[in-house]
Amino acid sequence: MTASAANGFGEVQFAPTGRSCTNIPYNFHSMYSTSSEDTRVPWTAHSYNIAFSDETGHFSYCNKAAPGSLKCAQAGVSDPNGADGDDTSCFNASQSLSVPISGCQGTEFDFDGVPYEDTWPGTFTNAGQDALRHPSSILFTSPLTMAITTTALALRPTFLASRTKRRRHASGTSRTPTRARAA
Amino acid sequence: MNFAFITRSGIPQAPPNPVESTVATETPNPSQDLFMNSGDHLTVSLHDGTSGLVVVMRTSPLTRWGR
Repeated sequence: MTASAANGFGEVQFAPTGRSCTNIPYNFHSMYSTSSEDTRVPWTAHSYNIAFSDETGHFSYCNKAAPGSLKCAQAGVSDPNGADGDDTSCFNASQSLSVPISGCQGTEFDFDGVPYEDTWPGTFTNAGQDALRHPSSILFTSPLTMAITTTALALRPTFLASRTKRRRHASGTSRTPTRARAA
Repeated sequence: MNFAFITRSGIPQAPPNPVESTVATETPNPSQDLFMNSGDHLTVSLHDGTSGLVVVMRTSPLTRWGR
């Protein structure tokens, strides 16, 4: 896919006192021709350059979703005291395109969703049970530019931009960049 | 923010721009989008083109691809 005007990509016309929004069709081109682990794009939540991003924290169990409001009408096992405020964008199992489980996909504010429980690969001490119950990790290679691999990379969480408070499993997350050198 | 799923045709299933986007923009469409399975190996290519940034994804071995 090309991020082009012909494909419907565009930017919003600046109109601070306007009452409606106007799309300006736009061809989005690469902004930089070089990059390093120190490259920052200062106006975004993610410090994108050549990046891979995997966003988690968007699933809480819900036994029954309210179709109209997309709120949780009957709380799931994640919420023994009843559905809470971040149980939004809820769907019933019948609406699933893949695994039929009812749940909510709204942004997690209280960290009681499935991704914050012991559901990650390596959680169980029994490797066989672990592989049976948990997905495997996402593995990705270093990016290539004209068939030349990168020599350095950086890992950077966006905790400051996307979270307002922490809960137990999030306590180990750093707000500052963590660097790793590739071999 | 512009948003589009990778489709097998390279044509977005609905407008990606934030003004004209619809529910269809953010609803996966199995008939148009590139779906992947656990364990798939992917090759992802991003490069600048004459009309904008181009993204192409291929499974390895090549059984499916999208852009």
